[in-house]
Amino acid sequence: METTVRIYDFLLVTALLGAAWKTLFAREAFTSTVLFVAFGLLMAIVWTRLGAIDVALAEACIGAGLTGALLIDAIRHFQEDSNLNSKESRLTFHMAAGVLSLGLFSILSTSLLNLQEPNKDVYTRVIDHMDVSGSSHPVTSVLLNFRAFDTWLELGVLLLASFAAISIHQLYDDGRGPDLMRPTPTAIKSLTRVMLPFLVIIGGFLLWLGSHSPGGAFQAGSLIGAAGILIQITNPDRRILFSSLGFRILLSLGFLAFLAVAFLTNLLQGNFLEFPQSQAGTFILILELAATASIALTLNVMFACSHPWTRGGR
Amino acid sequence: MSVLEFTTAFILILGVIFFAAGSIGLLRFKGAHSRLHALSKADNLGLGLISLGCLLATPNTATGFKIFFIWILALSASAVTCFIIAEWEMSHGDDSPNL
Repeated sequence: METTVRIYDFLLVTALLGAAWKTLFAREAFTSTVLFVAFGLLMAIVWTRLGAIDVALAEACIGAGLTGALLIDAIRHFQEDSNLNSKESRLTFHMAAGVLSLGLFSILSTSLLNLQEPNKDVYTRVIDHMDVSGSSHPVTSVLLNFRAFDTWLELGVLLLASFAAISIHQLYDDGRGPDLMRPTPTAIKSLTRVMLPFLVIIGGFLLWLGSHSPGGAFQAGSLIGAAGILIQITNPDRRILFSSLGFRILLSLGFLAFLAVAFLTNLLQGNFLEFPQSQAGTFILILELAATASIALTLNVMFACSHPWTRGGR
Repeated sequence: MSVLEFTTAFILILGVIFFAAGSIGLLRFKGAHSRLHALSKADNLGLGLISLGCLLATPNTATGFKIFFIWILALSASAVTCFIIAEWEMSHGDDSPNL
């Protein structure tokens, strides 16, 4: 049995490295992107083998699924745009991408060289404090209680990214709406009809699972976000109203919920984000619900705003 | 090895054979339509057999339901994707057959 598992792991790692290699050195950008999605799915299986189910779910949803869709969309616009696709600007892009990748590579390799023994102490401390955390799943306890501040800032980053995407979109919007297939293929329409209830139910299920097993706001948010993107694809003439109050509230709901909880806990406990032990579960649930809504909407903003600016702008 | 275990193993291996056949077809066939044909037919049969094999090996009903839904969702997604690619190929492809 042990040998079989070893062989399986070996094949998995080989496939992962092969996919990474092919992604980097494929001749066409489209081929690279498809291989990148395959790489993400293999990565998700690797995370599962390592026991990090939460990371595997996030990788499959966001890393492979959503990033892949955005990249394919970006490539199409890039190739159709004569300004971006000219020889000179391509050279500039390649140089800039090369410099940035080199920077990232040096940061990563430095941290790899300085890698220390995993801090076993942290794990035992998390496990020791599980009964006061308000959740029976260690990852949820860390994300939404022990290190809630980090998650708050992550939601802040998502909010800032949305602001940037919307600003660029508004700058170049020519009122023509997204470049989608018109009329929407019948197959996509019927798929949407079948998938929508499933996506919302499974999203809610993952959110609920987060309290005691792998799952939670990010995974739930990306599934419900996918439902929203399907709606966008099948209704190309319906646009997100970026100026409406409802949209603004929903987009910042996750961040605002953390802000409100931070103030509340400061009043109650005297410390930012230190939940009262008996109410910790309720606080986690409220934060998760708010975060799910904001994450789902953020992903839709990314999709909706990825369109008009490549049409040459003003 | 019980009868159930033997049946499970048999169905799973059969599923893997169909998956392998589908992948070989994808790599070896010429033209998008025949490749799609290999993928959507053989792989869906493989997926069905593997789901069935896993269903026989499940410890409880809840897991069984999840496997069933995975099968249904993967099946509909693959059918729709295949249809869209085939449709695109008919109108844009280099080697669209004259039907």
